[in-house]
Amino acid sequence: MAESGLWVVTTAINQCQNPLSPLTKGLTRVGKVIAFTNEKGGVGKTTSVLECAYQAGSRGKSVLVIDLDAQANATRMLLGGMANEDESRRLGVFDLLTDATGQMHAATTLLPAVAAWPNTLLVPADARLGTIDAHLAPRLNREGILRRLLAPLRDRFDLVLIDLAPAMTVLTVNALVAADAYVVPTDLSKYSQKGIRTVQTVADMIRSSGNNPDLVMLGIFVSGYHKGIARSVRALLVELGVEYGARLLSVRVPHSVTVTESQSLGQPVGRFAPESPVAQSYKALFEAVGP
Amino acid sequence: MSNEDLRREILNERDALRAENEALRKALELCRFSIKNENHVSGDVAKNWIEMIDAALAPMEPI
Repeated sequence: MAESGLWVVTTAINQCQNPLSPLTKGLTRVGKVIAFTNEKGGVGKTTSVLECAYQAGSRGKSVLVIDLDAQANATRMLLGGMANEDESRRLGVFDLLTDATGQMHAATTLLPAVAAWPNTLLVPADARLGTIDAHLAPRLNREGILRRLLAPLRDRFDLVLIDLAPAMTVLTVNALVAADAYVVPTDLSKYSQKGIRTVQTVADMIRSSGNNPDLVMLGIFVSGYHKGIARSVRALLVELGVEYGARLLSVRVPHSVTVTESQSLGQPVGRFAPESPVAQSYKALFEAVGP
Repeated sequence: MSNEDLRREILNERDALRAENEALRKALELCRFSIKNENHVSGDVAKNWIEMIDAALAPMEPI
């Protein structure tokens, strides 16, 4: 298998002269399970996961996508024509997480993605995930369920990407306990800025609790970016740079209808319009955070 | 509950377990078949995934 692909910041953040400088400088690779999270919705978490999966898979890397969002949009995209089939008949991540016997092997839920995403397997989500908190409430050590389930699989993949819902639930905690690192997509809004802080607080709690002391924030990147944004919004970008230093990636994914078009055709932007600015941005993102 | 009822219940539970085990085993075998036949999965990756599926299948012999 290829070498693992998590990056750790080795440049002291407070030594960063330019708050908008790329994170990719001065990083060392040490792992491969990456969660995409932000408490704010609509910032491009699912699209980022799908585009990074495409970038990795099309380069011959072995990719696993774990969909932990009850909306199951990543599942629908990766399963293409199967999207409209009865979800209740499909074993998925809900069944794994709620398996009280502990006997269910995670491999029993794997499904190969459609051809648009080469070399990619999926652990599908469905709407039942919306009730998972109630199902897991009585379970001991519920924060570490996904980590334990992933243990026999992780060496089989070059990259494991976890898509999350915009909420700090037991699923987000499970993802961050299982992950080597996390990436935070953001738009330029105050709500999203607050969402990043919430993620940071949860990640700090996970580290200090000993559940995953080595969890690393790979970086924050801006999606839905307009060049002609107002000065007040641009100021928010500077604020992010000051607050997060080198952890603010130089990647700016532009707002574009290309994303919607590619989604409607069931394809990643990287395949649908590889030369488009959006595809190039996701390519840069993958090269910053991927294996 | 009579001994006969109890025996019937045990058998029903065993039937359910056997059916569940069989369904999971079939699902894994279909996944294995699918991986083998997908032309968008490269040789090395498919080989590795099939080993993973086989490792999951090993303890799932028919009950």
